[in-house]
Amino acid sequence: MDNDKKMTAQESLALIAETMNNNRRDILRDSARHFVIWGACIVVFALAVYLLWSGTGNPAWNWLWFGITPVGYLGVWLTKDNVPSLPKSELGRMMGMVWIVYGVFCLCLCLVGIFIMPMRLTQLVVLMLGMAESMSGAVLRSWPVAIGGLMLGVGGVVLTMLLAGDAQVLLLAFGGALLLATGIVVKLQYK
Amino acid sequence: MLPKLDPLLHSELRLALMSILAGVEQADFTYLKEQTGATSGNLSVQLDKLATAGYIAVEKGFRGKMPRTTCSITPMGLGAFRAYVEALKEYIQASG
Repeated sequence: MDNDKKMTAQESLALIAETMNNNRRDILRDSARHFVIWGACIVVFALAVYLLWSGTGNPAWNWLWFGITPVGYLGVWLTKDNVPSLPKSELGRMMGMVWIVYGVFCLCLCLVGIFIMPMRLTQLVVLMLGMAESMSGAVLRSWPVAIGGLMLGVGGVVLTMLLAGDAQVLLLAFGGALLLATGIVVKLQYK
Repeated sequence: MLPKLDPLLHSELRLALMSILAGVEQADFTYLKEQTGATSGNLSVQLDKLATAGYIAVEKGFRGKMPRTTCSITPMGLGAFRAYVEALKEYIQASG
């Protein structure tokens, strides 16, 4: 890039647009990494809970869910070195906040559901998972993410009404797979 | 009468730097170098020019044991960047 090059107005505007697009693409590509890691974590934990719960008949295996946060963050931390030093952006911060809020809501609802008042936790967790994904899609202005979230949230609530007990956990595995697929789509889109 | 284009921004490298910084809270030197393809020396000189004009803030620190330089756009820089973009639009309208 030349600092002395004289540019026309069109060239200057084109440069601004191109630079901003490149920036957005980098941030989107990094968000895809988060979708892939958390999606894979949900799939693995959901399948583990399902197999252990249905195999032993003991719902106490649901406590395994509390391990997803440290494992997920470990995954994010381990893959961080592969990413060039990305800038801090409002977009990235908003994305982070959406998922932190989702995590806090899930944790609080699970604690209330387990210790205070029984409730349809899978239905709520799936609905919020879909909403968080859709909100991420809206923030990133990415249709695959927004539509994936809508399908997961609405479809998930309907399916939890039809499925019972341990089979509902498979729905979360599907949700995780959808999140994983969304990450792969975004990654390929912004290669 | 068409507005005068800010000479500090009417340079390919400095404009690219301002375009990056306008869209983020802060970016580090390595990222700016990767994005613009500029040499470290040239990039430092251009960042200094923008910082001297008050368009960007440069902060030197450490990430672990590695030195790290981060840059962010100032309100003054953002104003200048917006004014520059508006001026460009007027030029294009006038020529079109």
